[in-house]
Amino acid sequence: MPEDFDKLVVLLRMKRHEQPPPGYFAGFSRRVIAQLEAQQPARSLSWWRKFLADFDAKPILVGAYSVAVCGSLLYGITLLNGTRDDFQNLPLGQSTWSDSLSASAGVGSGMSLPPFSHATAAFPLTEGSVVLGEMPNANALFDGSLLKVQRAKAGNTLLNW
Amino acid sequence: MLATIKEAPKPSAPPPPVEERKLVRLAQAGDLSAFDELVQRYQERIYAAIYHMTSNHEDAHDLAQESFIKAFQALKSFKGDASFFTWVYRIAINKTINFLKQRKNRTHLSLNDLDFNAEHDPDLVALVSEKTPRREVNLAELQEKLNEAMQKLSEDHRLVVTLHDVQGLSHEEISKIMDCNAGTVRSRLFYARQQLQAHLSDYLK
Repeated sequence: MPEDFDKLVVLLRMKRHEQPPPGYFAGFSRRVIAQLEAQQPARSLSWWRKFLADFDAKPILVGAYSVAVCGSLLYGITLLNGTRDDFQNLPLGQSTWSDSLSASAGVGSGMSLPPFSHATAAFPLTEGSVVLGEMPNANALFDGSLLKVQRAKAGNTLLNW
Repeated sequence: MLATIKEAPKPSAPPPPVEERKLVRLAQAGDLSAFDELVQRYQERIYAAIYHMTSNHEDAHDLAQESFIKAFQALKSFKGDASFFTWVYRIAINKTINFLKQRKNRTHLSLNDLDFNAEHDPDLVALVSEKTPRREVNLAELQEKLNEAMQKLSEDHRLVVTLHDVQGLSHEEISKIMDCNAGTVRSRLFYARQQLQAHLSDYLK
């Protein structure tokens, strides 16, 4: 070590005497561990909680997910309407997948539906009849009645439900 | 002429490596009490290294805590190639250098008080009482001038001075922490001392 640096090295040694307040290190590790413990629950969160926590941390994600959900919903509705139009355009008496569905649904539920014919679809309006516009479409689709309704509608008739 | 310069005291002897490895293994498995033991072993040296780099107690406090938290989070990646001490030092030093780069020239000194022993260190007393151009200077003023001069060094040069001249680490230990060879450490140390000498010339004549 060059002699020139002797005084400087002595002066630098003075920095060893710069000490934090008394007792500072007594609680240091405790504070570190406390912070680590505070972070632990966040690590053991379920994926669902983490998902929600992401929403809190990044609000833009909320918008993105909303757009995605609404888009899916609109797509589903559009698809449903397209399917309905397909049914309406079916020629009367043509067998479709929904006929098969109605047959299998009838077997499974113990109900039997009468085989469809144009003649049996046209009933006069009697007590207990349902106007076409009021029919619950989801149920009708399930038991195959929708097809009958659509066909009936195409013929401007009312169907005895 | 000053009395013979005392060798910088070496840091306290490292604990038996096997025991440290065991603590590290337990901490890697998530045992916080084992990690607490590791923190207690190195907290003073890590804090001091950061403090001498920043010359600011509050910054050193925050950075030292963050360094240990980062170390715990990254503990699974610790393979044991270097000692745990060197590994933690690297984390602390990297964190500090990143912090200083963000802080740039916005240096705000927040110095710790000199302990009681400073006034009884004969070499330091001699340095203040010798007839220098600034002989009226007291230890506290000298401390401030020294820290200001340290802050004028680049981070790498300040780090070498801190680790070698203040903390008493060997060139080899510093080279492991800084991931460079010992020759680079020596040349950086020489240059840093020259710079400090120039900044503090009024107090060192």
